[in-house]
Amino acid sequence: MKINFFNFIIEILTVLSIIFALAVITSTNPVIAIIFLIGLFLTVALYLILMGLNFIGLSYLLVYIGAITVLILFIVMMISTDILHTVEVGPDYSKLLPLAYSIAVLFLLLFLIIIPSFIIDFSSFEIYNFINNVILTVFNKETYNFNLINDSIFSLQTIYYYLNKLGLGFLLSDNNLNNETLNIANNNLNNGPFYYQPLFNRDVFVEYNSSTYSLIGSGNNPTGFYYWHPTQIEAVNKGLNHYEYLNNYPFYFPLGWYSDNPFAVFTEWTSNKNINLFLWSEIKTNILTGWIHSQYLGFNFNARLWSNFAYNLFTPFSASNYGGANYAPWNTLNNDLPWNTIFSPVYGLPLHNLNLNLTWLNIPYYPEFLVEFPHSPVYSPNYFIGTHNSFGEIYHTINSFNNTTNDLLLNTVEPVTLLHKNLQIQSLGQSIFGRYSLLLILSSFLLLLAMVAPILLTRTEKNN
Amino acid sequence: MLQILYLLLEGLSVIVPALLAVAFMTIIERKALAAMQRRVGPNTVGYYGVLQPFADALKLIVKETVIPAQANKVLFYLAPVIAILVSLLGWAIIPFGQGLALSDFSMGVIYTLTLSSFGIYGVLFAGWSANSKYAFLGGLRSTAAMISYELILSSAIIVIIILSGSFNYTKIIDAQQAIWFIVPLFPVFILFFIAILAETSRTPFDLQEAESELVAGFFTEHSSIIFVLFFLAEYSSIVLFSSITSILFFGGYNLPEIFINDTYLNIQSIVLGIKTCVFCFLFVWFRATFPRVRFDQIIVFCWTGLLPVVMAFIILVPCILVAFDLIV
Repeated sequence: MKINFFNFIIEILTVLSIIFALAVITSTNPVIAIIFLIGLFLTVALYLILMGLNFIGLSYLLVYIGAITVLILFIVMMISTDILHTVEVGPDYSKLLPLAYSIAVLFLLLFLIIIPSFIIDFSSFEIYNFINNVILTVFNKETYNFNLINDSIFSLQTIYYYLNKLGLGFLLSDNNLNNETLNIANNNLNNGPFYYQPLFNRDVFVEYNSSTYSLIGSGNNPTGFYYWHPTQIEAVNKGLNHYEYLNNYPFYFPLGWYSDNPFAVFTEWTSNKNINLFLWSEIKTNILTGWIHSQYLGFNFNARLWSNFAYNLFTPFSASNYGGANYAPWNTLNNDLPWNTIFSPVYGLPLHNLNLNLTWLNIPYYPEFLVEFPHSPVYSPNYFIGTHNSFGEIYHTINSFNNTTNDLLLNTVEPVTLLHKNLQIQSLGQSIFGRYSLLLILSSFLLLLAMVAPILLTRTEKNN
Repeated sequence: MLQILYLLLEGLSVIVPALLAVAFMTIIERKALAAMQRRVGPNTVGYYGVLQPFADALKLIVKETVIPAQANKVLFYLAPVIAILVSLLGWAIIPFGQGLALSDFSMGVIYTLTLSSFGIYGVLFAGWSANSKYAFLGGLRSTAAMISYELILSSAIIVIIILSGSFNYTKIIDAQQAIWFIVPLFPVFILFFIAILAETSRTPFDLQEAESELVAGFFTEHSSIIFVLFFLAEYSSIVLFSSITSILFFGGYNLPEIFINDTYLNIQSIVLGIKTCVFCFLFVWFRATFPRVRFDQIIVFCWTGLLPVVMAFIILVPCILVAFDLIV
C-alpha cells in the first residue's frame, strides 16, 4: 500500500493535538494541564509549518508558547505550589473519567447519526487506511466492511453495528434498518445529487453523482472496486446502444463516458507522485437527514487519488484500460466528439472536459443553490461553455430525494430559479425526523443527565 | 539512506565543534577571571589547564544522581533536556560563511527568537519540578527576568530587521557589506547586549544563582549528568548569542577584503570565530567587573529604563529611513 507520508504525519499531528487537547481538560494538576497545552500549541504550530505557513507557525510558537503560556504557567506556579495537594485531590476528579468518556462516546454516537457524514468519513485519511491495512495483514482477517469511497463508517447500517457492540442495538431496531425510508436514503446515497465545489466557495461546479462514477468500472483500479451502475445493467438488458443509453440516462453519462481516455497521461504522470494539487470540498447528502453538507477533502484528496478518480470517471469502459470491451457493447464508437484540452490555470485540470459534465459555475455557496445538470450536454458541446453558463439554464431535479427507483427518466427537470432551500427536509429529512426525533431527543436528555450526575454526586460527597 | 547519513554528518559537523567551543568557553572564563583576580586558575589538567573542562565533565558524569523524593521526575529530567536542546538547535541557522549554514532559513531571526523563548521552559520546569523552595524561587526569578528582557531583545532585533529588510541571517550579513550595523545602531547594540546578558542569566543579571540567597538557583537539586546539561546549555547559549551578536551588528563572516584569499582556507569562518570570541570575552569581562544587581532593580530597569528607549528606536529608525528616502 502506498502511503503519502506527508499526509500521514499531518494526520498524526492532528490526532496528537486532539489527545493533547483532551489531556488539557482532564489533567488534575494545573501545571501538567498547561504542559499539555504547550504540546497542543506545538502540534498546531508544526501543522501550520508543514502546511507551508512558516511564518504563521513560528509566530504561533513565539506568541503562544513563548509568551502567553509562559505567563500562564508562571502565574499558576506561583498560585499553586503545593504538588502534594493536587496529587491527593486529583483522584476525586479523575475517578469518574472512564464514566465520562463512555458517556461522551455514547453521546457522540447518537450525534453521529444526525451530523453530516463527512465529519466521520475516515476513508480519505492515510492513517485510517494504514491502520486498517495493518489490522488486515497482522490478523489476516477482514475488518468491518467500510465503504472506502462514500459511506462513512457510521452510516445508518454501521451505527447499528456499533450500537449492537455496545449492547444498545435496541436503539435502532432491525425494522428501522430495513424500512422504506432507509431504502430511500440508500437510493439517495447512490442516486442523489452530489456536488463539488472548490474550497473558497466561489467557483462551484457540480457533478451529478460522483460516487457512482468513481465506482463504476474500476475493477482493475487501485481502489479495488468493481461495480456496475444499475442503469448500465438495465441498458445492457434492454439492448440499448450508447446513444440511446445516453439519451435515456443523461445524468449518469455525460460526454466523458464514451470518450477515449483523456486522463490516461495525467494519471500516469500523477500515479507516482503523491503531490497535493487540489483543495476540494464536496457537498454531500447526509443519508439520514437529507441535509446537504459540504465535505472538505482538503489535502487528503491528493493528485493520485484525484487522477484515479478522474480516470474512473472518464474511462470506465475503455477497452484499453479496463478490458471493458467485454462489458460495454458500445465502446467501438469512441472518439466521435472533439476534445479541446483546455487546462485550467487554477486547478491544473483540463476543465474543458470537466465543463461538459461538471459545469463550472460562478455562484455562491449552497444552500441557496442546489444545482444539478440537465439533459444532454452530450450533443451540444458548447452548452456549458460561455453562453449557457449562467443561472437561467441550469437545472436541477426536484425529486431526486424521492426517487425510490433508479429510473432517472422519472425525474422532472426545473430551472434553478424554482429551487428552494429546504427541498431535502421536505422529503427525506421530514420522514426521518418523524421517525427518530423523539428517540434522539429522549436519549440526548438521558445522556446529558448521566453526564451531569457525576458532577452532582461529587459535589454531594464534598459537602458531606 | 545516504542522504540521511549526510544530514546526520552535517548536523554533527556543527554540533561537535559547538560543544567543543562550549567546553573551552568554560576554561577561558575561569582563566580570564583568574587573571583579573590575580590568581592562576586551573593549570594542572593538561597543558596550561586546557583539559580542565573534560576532567570536570567526567567528574560530574560519574557522580550519583540524587533526585528529591517529592520531585516530578518527568519534568525534572525534561528541564535540562529542553535547555540543552534549545541552545543547540539555535546553531542550525547560523551561517559560518557564504553558503555555510545547516539551514539558510528565511525566517532565521524568528526561529532564534522562538528558541530563546523556549529556553524559559527549561528554567521554569527545573525550578518547579524539584519541589524545593530554593529552586522554585530561583526559577521564578529567572523566568521573570528572562520574560522581561526578551522584550528588549526582540525589539532590538526588530530595528535590525527594519534596516536589513529580512529575517534571514545571510541577508542581514549581506546588508552590512557597506557598513556594520554597530555604527548606525550603537545604542541599540548596547540594549541588545544587555538583553542577551539577561537572557543567558549572566552577571550582573545572574540573580537566580545568587548563592547567598538561593544556594544555586533553579538547578539547586540537579546533580551529576543533568546538571552538566544545564551547564552546557548556559555556555552554549553564551557562545550562540555571541555569534548572533557578531552577525547582527558586526557583519558576521564578512570582513573588508585586505588581500585576496586564494587558499582553501575559509577565512570567513575564522572571521566569524574571532568576532564571536570577542563577545565571549565581553561576557567574562562583565562577570569580573559588575556586581550582581538586586532583583527588583533589574525588572524596574528593564520596564522603565530599557523598554522606552528601545521603543523609541523602533520608531526613530524607520522615521530616519523614510525621511532620507531609503525605504518607501
